[in-house]
Amino acid sequence: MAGLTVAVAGLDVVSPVIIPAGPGGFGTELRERYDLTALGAFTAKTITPHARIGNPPPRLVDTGFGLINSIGLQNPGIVAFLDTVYPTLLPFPTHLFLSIAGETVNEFEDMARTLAGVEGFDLLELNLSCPNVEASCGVIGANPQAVHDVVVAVRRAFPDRPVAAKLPFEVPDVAGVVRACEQAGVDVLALFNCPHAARFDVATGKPFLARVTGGFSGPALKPLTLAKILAVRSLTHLPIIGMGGAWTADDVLEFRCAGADLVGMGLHTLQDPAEVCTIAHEFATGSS
Amino acid sequence: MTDVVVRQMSFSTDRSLLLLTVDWRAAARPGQFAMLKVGDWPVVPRPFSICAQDREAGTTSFLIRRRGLLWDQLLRLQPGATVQIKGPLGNGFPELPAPLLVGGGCGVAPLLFVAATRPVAGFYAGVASAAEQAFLAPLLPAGTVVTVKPQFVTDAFLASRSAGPVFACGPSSMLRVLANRYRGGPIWVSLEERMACGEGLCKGCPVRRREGSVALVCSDGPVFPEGEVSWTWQD
Repeated sequence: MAGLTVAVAGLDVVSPVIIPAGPGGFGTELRERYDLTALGAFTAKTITPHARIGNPPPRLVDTGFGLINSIGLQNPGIVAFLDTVYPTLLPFPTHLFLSIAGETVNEFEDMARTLAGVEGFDLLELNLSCPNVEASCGVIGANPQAVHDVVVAVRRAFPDRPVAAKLPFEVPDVAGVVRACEQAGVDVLALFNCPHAARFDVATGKPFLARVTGGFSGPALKPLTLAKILAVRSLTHLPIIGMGGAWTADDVLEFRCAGADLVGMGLHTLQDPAEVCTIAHEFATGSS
Repeated sequence: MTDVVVRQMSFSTDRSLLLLTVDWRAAARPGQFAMLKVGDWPVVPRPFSICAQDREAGTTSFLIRRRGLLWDQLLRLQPGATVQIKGPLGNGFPELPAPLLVGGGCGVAPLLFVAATRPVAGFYAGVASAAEQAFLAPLLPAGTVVTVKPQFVTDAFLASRSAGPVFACGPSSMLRVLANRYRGGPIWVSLEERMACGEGLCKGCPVRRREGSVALVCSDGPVFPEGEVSWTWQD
């Protein structure tokens, strides 16, 4: 395997393999326990304006070739995150991306303005698509006008570093949303958040998850994600972080065939972050 | 995850329980668990309490109930096969001498490990069937009080009027009964929850603390002082 260093939105990325927002938590534990230097980037779990305790358990159900999660953006809120968590991350051993979600344009804008004054991270991801919250951030990403309004406001408040938009898997007007991202000044597309999914216990007839549906991830999702990335690739030259089903080094190459520049490995991070770092290292050094 | 070789497998006669022994030397404390997986499917590993360790033989054992997608994979295994493991994980029970042990079902697994490491003041085990009772009998220390459904292990334990610190593991309904009715000393409960990473990353295994915060069963537990645990989830 040849070494594969990628330039994305002005960042030199040592490997196309990244950890997307969610499965790696905020990065505190990962940074202590694993050598992350060969990762292209790490995205910290999404933070919100106020603390969220997340969804009641059960939050997870297995599907065999994947996992349905219903975490619900559990996080301490941006103020506590910056006071207590963020200082433990610095300096981060690879590119550090932060992810934010708000319920309104103003919430996104306020968080972006706060983070514009915070050094030590390289890219701001807008989570426009969490499948596990009832508030509007779950649907912003499906609405071109809403995406446009959020991104314009964030760009105004956060002008100096790249911004990524994480879109929902289920978007009726993909072309419209991608165009809105381009026109409003998005630098990178993060494709995609987990699609909605459910499982039921046949013994009881009841859903496994306390909130019935959750977001689906894992190898079973890969061919669906690839088709969607391919469709977006034909619409835009924006860099794409592909995520949703990448498990092996070959999967990373397959995502790149479909048009992704960087590839997120979420579920594999849950099994063992060391294995994801090893795959990232293979790309970074050309060894296999 | 690390590849480990299956040394021994034994099933209860009704094939509801499996005692799986693997060549794995990682030093674990009683109450800790490991994530286990068999090959590529199911992709998400499962958490199991460590039931026993034989330092000389270099083996570790897990007590596994028939449940979920992993079971069919386990049935296909033979000694000599390879499984994947990550751990030991979690905090384990405190280093208290002579605790009372109360376990329900596979909840006896971490308590067996406790009983192998120190003298205990009593062991109460609740099982689902006579087949399970027969299967577990050789593993339980002499003097263990065993109840079989529809008897409740909590009834047997509370009727004994024992006093002292308790380590308990089992269904949450059992743990709640203990928490509500036992007044003889402090209780530590080992909680069970669905997990994916087992190490505090994914926030998939929450438990509500009485003061309102959210702890994670995998990395803050699985063992908690009973007084810290809120048995209901309120927003």
